Order: sequence, then C-alpha cells, then structure tokens
Amino acid sequence: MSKPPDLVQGTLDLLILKILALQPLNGWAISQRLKQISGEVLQVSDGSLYPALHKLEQEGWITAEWRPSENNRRAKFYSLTRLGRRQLEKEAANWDRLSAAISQVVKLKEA
Amino acid sequence: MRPKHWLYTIPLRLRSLFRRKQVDQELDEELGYHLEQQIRQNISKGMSPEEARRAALRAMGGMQQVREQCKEKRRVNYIEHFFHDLRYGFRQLRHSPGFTIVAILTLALGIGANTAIFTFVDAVLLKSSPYDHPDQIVRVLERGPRGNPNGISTMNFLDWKNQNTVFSAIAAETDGSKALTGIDVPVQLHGLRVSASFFEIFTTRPILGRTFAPDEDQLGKENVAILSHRIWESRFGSDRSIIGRTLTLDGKPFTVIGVLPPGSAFDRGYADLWTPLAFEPKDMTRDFHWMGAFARLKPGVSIEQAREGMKPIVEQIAHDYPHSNAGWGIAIDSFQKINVDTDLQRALLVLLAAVGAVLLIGCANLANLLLARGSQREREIAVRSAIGAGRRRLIRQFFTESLLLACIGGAVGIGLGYALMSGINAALPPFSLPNEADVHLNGRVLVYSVAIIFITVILFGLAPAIHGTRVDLAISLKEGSRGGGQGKSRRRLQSVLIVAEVAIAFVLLAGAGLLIRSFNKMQKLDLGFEPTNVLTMDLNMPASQFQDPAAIISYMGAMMEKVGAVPGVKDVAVASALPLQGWGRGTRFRLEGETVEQRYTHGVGFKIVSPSYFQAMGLRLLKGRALAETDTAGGMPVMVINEPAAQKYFKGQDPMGKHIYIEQFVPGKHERGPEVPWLVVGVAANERNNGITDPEDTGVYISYKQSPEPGTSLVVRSAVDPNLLIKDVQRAVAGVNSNQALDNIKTMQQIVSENLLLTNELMTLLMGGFAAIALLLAAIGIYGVLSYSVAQRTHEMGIRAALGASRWQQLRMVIGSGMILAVIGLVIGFGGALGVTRLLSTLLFQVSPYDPRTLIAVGVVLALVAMTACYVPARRATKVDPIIALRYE
Repeated sequence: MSKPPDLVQGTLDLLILKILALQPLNGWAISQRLKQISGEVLQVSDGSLYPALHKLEQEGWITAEWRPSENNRRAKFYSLTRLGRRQLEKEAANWDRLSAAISQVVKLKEA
Repeated sequence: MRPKHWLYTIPLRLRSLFRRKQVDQELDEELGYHLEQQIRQNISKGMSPEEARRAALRAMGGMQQVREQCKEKRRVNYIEHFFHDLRYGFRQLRHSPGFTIVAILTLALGIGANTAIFTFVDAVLLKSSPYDHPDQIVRVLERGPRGNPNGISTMNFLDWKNQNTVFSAIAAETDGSKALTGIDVPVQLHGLRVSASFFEIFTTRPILGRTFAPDEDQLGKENVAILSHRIWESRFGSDRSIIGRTLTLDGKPFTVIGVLPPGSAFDRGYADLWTPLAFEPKDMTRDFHWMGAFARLKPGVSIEQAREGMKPIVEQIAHDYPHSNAGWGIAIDSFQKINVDTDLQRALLVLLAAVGAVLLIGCANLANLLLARGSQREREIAVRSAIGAGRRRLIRQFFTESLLLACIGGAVGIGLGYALMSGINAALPPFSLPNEADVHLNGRVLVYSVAIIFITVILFGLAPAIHGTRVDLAISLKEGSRGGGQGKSRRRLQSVLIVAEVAIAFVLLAGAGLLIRSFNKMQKLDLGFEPTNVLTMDLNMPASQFQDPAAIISYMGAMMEKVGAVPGVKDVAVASALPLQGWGRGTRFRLEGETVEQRYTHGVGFKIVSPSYFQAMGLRLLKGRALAETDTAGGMPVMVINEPAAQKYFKGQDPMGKHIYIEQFVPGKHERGPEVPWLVVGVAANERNNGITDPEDTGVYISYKQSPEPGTSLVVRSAVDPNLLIKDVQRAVAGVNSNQALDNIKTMQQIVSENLLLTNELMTLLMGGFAAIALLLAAIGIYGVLSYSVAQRTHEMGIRAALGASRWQQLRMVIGSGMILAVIGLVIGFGGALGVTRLLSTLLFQVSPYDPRTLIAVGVVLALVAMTACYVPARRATKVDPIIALRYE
C-alpha cells in the first residue's frame, strides 16, 4: 500500500487542535477545512485523520459530542478542552521554534 | 500525571472497556457519516454514484485498517484483545485436542516436578530459620586429638560456660529418653536433657506453661518436664490441665511445666520430652565425653572471634589437666551450616537441576510442536493480517495462546506437584530432613511455580510467535500453497531444538544411570551380617536403677532367657548398639608396647554384646573364636575386633593373642576405671556400624559380663516372620519387669532400608523417573518433527518413488535425517555428562561419575529410542503411493 507522504510527525495534531480552537467541528468538516486552508500542499488522507482524532480524544485534549449536523444527520462534533488549549500553545510554540530554525538553515548562502 | 487529565481520560477508558459495542457503533457511524458526505460531494462533482463510492473509499485508504487504527488509540485495546485472543485460543485448542493434551501434559509434568522439588529446596535450604537471629546460634563440641569433633565432658563444659566472654548463653544437651510408667503399658518417651538456657538459644515460646527457669538445671530442682505439642496431643489428649501434673519418668516424679507450640521445629524432631540436665557429683569428670552443646553468640561476636576468644580457656584446661585434655580443643560451627547435611543439600540441588532439565526439554518440545502448527496456520495468519491485523497484534495473539496452554498446564502441574511432594514426604524415612524444614506448598512455592509458568511461556512461545507471524501474503494466500514460505529457518530452529533435547536427555539419563548402578551396588553390599528375620528393640535401663554390675548382668540374662523361650525365636542377644546405627560408645586405647600418651591418638567403637550376638545377628567371624559364655566377670578379659580395626592397627600382623589396653567403663559413672588388658580372640566381619561411607569403621566387641553397662538393645533371630513375634516378645519382657518400656521395635531389614536404601532408593527413583520423562519427551520431539516433515514432503516422496527410489532408500533418507540430529545431540550430551556427573560423586557408592559402562549404556538406550521415534514416520513415508501423492496436487 502506498500512502501519501506523511506530515511531519505531530504536525497533524497541531493542525487539528488549531482548527478546533476556532470552532467545534465534526470529522468530515475538519477534513474539508484542512483541504481548504492548506490547499493541495498538505495532503492529509482521510485514513489518518480519524486515528489522530481518536488519539487526541483519548489524551483528553479534545472532547466529542453527538449533535445534529447542518443536514440534520447525527455527527460527532469535536471541541477543544482546557488541556487541549494548553497543548495547542505548547505545540504552536514548538512549531515556531522549529520552523524558525529550519528557515535559518535554509536561508544560508552558499559560500 | 495531573489529576485533571485523568478526569477526562478515565471515563473514556472505562467507556471503551465496558460499553464497547456502543463505542464501536459510534466509530462506524462516524466513519459512515464521513463516507456519505464524501460520496455526496463526489456526485455533486459529476461522478456516477458507483464511481463516487469507490473514490470515497479509496480516499479513506482501507476502512478496516482505519477502524483498527482508531480502536488502537483507545489504550484499552490490549485488555480487550487479550480476552478476545483468549476466547480464540480456547477455540484453537479445542480444535486440536491431541496437540492440546500432549502440550498440557508436558507442561504439567514439568511444572509439577519443579513445584514438588522446589517445595523441599525451599523448606530445607531457603526458608529462614524459625529462631531469632539464627546466625548467632552455634554448635559447640570438643575437638579430639585426631581433629574430629567429639562429645564434651562435664568439667570442660562448666569451665567453658563460666569463663567464656563470647557466648550470651551456652546449653549442654544429652539423651534424655525416659520410660513413662504408671500407665497401662509403659512407653519410652524420646527426649533430651538440656541446660536451662536451651530454650533461650532456640528461641521458643510454649503454648502452655513455661520453659525452664534459669536455676532449674541445678540438682534438686530438676524434676520438671516440657512436652512436645505432638505428644501432648497424642498421649495426653490435649488436656490443658497437664500443667502441674506429675508424671513418673524412669521411676521418678516429674512435674510438667510447659507444652511447646505445634508445627514448630520441636514438633518434627525426635524428642518429645525435655528435662533439665543437672550435673551430679559422678558426672564431674573431664574424660567422659557425653554431651553436645549449643550456644548463642553475643551480639556482634563473629564465629571467628568466638574461636579466638575460647582458645586461651581451652589451652589453659589442656595445660592444667594433661592427663585428660592434652591435644583436645574446641569446635565451634554455625548451626545453620551444620544443620543441613551436605549430601542432602547436594541431592536436592541435583534434583532441582534435573526437574529444570525436564522442563527445558518440555519447552523445546512444545516450541517444536507450535512451530509445526504455525506452518499449518500460515493461511489463517495471512488472512488475518490481510484484513488488518498488525504483526505485534499477531505476536500477542500467539503469546496469549501459549499463555493459555501454560496456565492450564501449570494449574494441573501444581496439583501434580502437590501429590508428588506428599508422596516424597511419606516415603522419606523419619528425620531425614532437618527439624527446621517445614515442608509445605506455601505462598513462596506458588509464586515460584507461577514464575516458572511465565518463563515457560517465553521459552516455548517466543520462537513460534516470531516465526508464525512472519508471513508473506503473496505466497501464503495463493491457492494450493503448502506454506513453508520460510521453512528453512524454521527447520533449522527445529533441528537445534531436537539436538538440545537429546543432549539434555542424555545428561539426565547418565545421572539416573549412575544412581541406579550405585543403588544396585548398595543392595548387593556385603553387610557382614544377615539382616533377614531379625527383630530388634531398645531396652532402656535407667542408670539410677542399675548401678550394680551383677544386677545388670542378671537382668539381661533373665531377659534373654524369657524372650528366648518364646516359640519361633531361634537366638536372642543383647548389644549396646545395632548395626548401621553407630557404635554408641567409643574409647581410646593403646596397643601392647605403646606408651600411655599414644592412646590419645587411637579410637575404636566399643560394643558390649552377649556372646549370642554373633549367632543372632549372623555376624561372620573371619578368624579365631567368638565371645563365649565362659568369658565371665572373673575370667580373662577377651575381645573380638572387627576387620577394619585389624587392618588399621595390626597392618598385616596377626592380631590374635595380642592385647589391647582400654580403661574400664564403670557402670552408671562418668569416670573410667583402671586399664584392662583385653586379649584379642577373634576377628569379625565389618558390620558397618557407621554406615557404608566410613572407611575406618573400627571397633571391638566385649561380653556384657566383662563390661556391664545399663541399657541395651535386644536382638531376636526368628524362624518365622519377625513381625509375628512382637506381641509375644513384649509379653515376655513384661514378664521379667512390667515397668520395662520397649522402644524402636524394628526389624533389621527395616533398619537397613532406612539407613542405606530408602533415601538412596527415593533419590534413584526420582532421578530415574525424571530421566524417563526426559527420554519420552525427547522421543516425542523427534517423532513429532519427523512426522511433520514427512507429511510436508509427501509430494517430494511421490516424485522420488515415481523416479524409482526404493522403499529402503526412502526409509534410509528419513531415518538418516532424524538420526543425524540424535547423534549430534548424543555427542554433545556425552560431553555435557562428563562435565556434570561429578556433581553426583558424593552421592555415588562404588561407582565413578565417569563410569564408562553407564555412559555407553545410556547412549545405546537413547540411540535406540531415537531410532524407533524415527522409524515410525519413516515407514509412513515409504507407504506413499506416487500416484496419490502426485494427484493430491
């Protein structure tokens, strides 16, 4: 089985947390939002989204609730918990540091 | 973790565990919703419904995998899977009852044997001592001029006790068995006379009354007694009013002051009665060594320091009393060390190693069976991994199945172990284990057994789990595949296991073979006497009642006369000790022409017998004459010496007519009389008084009329089964003295068996049994692997047969492939046996641990068994019909 190249380890978690920080969403909506905001650059397969959601739920960072969706079907809506918000801050800070460091390296001019 | 975190996660975990159905359903619903939305979106983009659905599924990348991955995130998976695997494992085992029964039996035997033997190892070698600060307890003895530990004399003991600075307490101990009279049938109570501080050293609290007061070992206060719980229960009906009651012991009144606790070391020993050891004026000598002693070291004093501390005291005594003490020293040893016989320790460790080996072979066998099964299950595993089972998940499932087997086998095994332990316990001669050894299937033993179960799971489950889950889907799923994708590495592993099994089995068989040969030699041993149809019993005679030599002689004479008149009795004799039970009494002596000083370096056993003893015991005379009725008190003192004494002290010269100078024993007194020149009139065969291992079992025989001493054993040779005479003999004894207690009524055969054969027989039986199991398991191993490979190669065999291979060639090929492994195993096992059997050397009698005959015999037996195990599947191979074998494709 060939999978699309995985996101940098942990980045998917960060993206999900960030998206949910804006508003509670169901899985389908999250996948749409992911595609929307990142365009074709970040390929998140639907197959890896759900295990990631379940992991975050088990960690206690997001919590789930069954609610009617826009088309009145029952759907599982995820929202951020207080622990999740703290985790998001931590991961975002990590990401900033990492990306800053990497862009520093990439910008190095060849001698 | 922070408690807040748990607030979120615990309910989730519990929900995943206990509302699993609902959680699963929600997962399906969630994924289903996503799928539906995706399809709807795809349709709106212009795809046909069919196309839209396929595209949506593709985007998911395998619904089943996603579902599994989500479930795995729940963190309770392993618990859930475990139960799932357990159910699945049960089904698997039910499907193949043959395999299951063999596996469970193998494990049950291995774990059972280990449990049983470990129970003894635990009780004898590992369990902590029941006494407080057991490392402070030491045994104290005198050290004789030849360096041997020896009994202690009264005056030396008192000097040690009063002058030492290293012991917080020291207690002397000597036999204190007494006849309990004033009841219907007088009985001899086995007992000890001990110093008052004895129970301070062996810390024990009585359950009733008290132990000795510090001054109760003083003359005049010593008529008090302590009973074992055992005898209190059996003879006094657990009557609590026993405290303060007066018992008549050896004709004197004793007040019962205490009863010791049940189940203690004191309840497993020889003694049932403890009375104070008070010294009388007649005891106050330095050359009558009649006591043992135990002491408690002062806190912080090591054994080394104790030896150093005692040295000046002992040297001063030797300086002051050279006549009795020149050359004598003191022997101080850790009680814990001397308490466990080194041979017992060795035997237990050998048995523990043996059962460990049996378990190892069993594990190798199971691993082999599981490997073979694994290849049969290749398809199943391939299917499971195709629908989403990860490798780790599969390995866990294999392990769960192994664990299930091990737990069932272990449960059966612990039951089996309990039965075996009880059997061994019942078969052990009395007092073969230290009193402190409380043999019980306790919590520690169970922990050990459970630990073993888990170790076996890893031993036999690991390789099959790794091999069985390494599946190449493309090959295994193909129609008609016979599996065997990685058959080569599995075959190699199976071969290694077979070689190991055979090698270990060889070592075990060699050990068992050596013990069997040694036991055979022991059975055929020339005992120097004739043990069949001889009844023996102890006839205790309180020294207080028998002080007059003439009274002793006439009492014994009357006993022999009355018992001799019982119908069925051929000969009757008295003897101060019985064969195989020690000489009872020993003495220094000097030979003709030697100085008085030289007698300190010679020692012999000194047995006082009636002249009829030679006849009654069937003791062979090698030279000269036996003692005679005419050798009386007034006559010339004569003796018969035994063969080892003749060899040791007369080295090639004829001892007949020579004199041996021994100081006279004075009845009832602990001092020696003047030297008596005993004339050697005969040489008797070695009747092995000290057992069979003492190479210098030297001793002399003296008539009871020429050296009378109270107390004796009665020896009765009968024309019929001696057990039939017991009642009549008892009646005859009571006819002489109704207060005479009889003790240790046993046939000589019984004594021989208890002293020589029983422990050795038990050891031989156990080792033989374990080796037989090992042999059987190894045979099953070879048979199983070969059968499996023959079944796998049916196709190949068919082609071979079609191409003209003869039956004989086929047979040879299969047998050869098995025997090569057996032979490699034999060679390795032979090397191993040479390295290991010397551990048995102290347990072997007249057999070298490298005995070539045994090793060869073992090799032949093992090879024959291996051959048979190879032959059966090989014959099946030759029966392959080429047409059927090929059409089968």
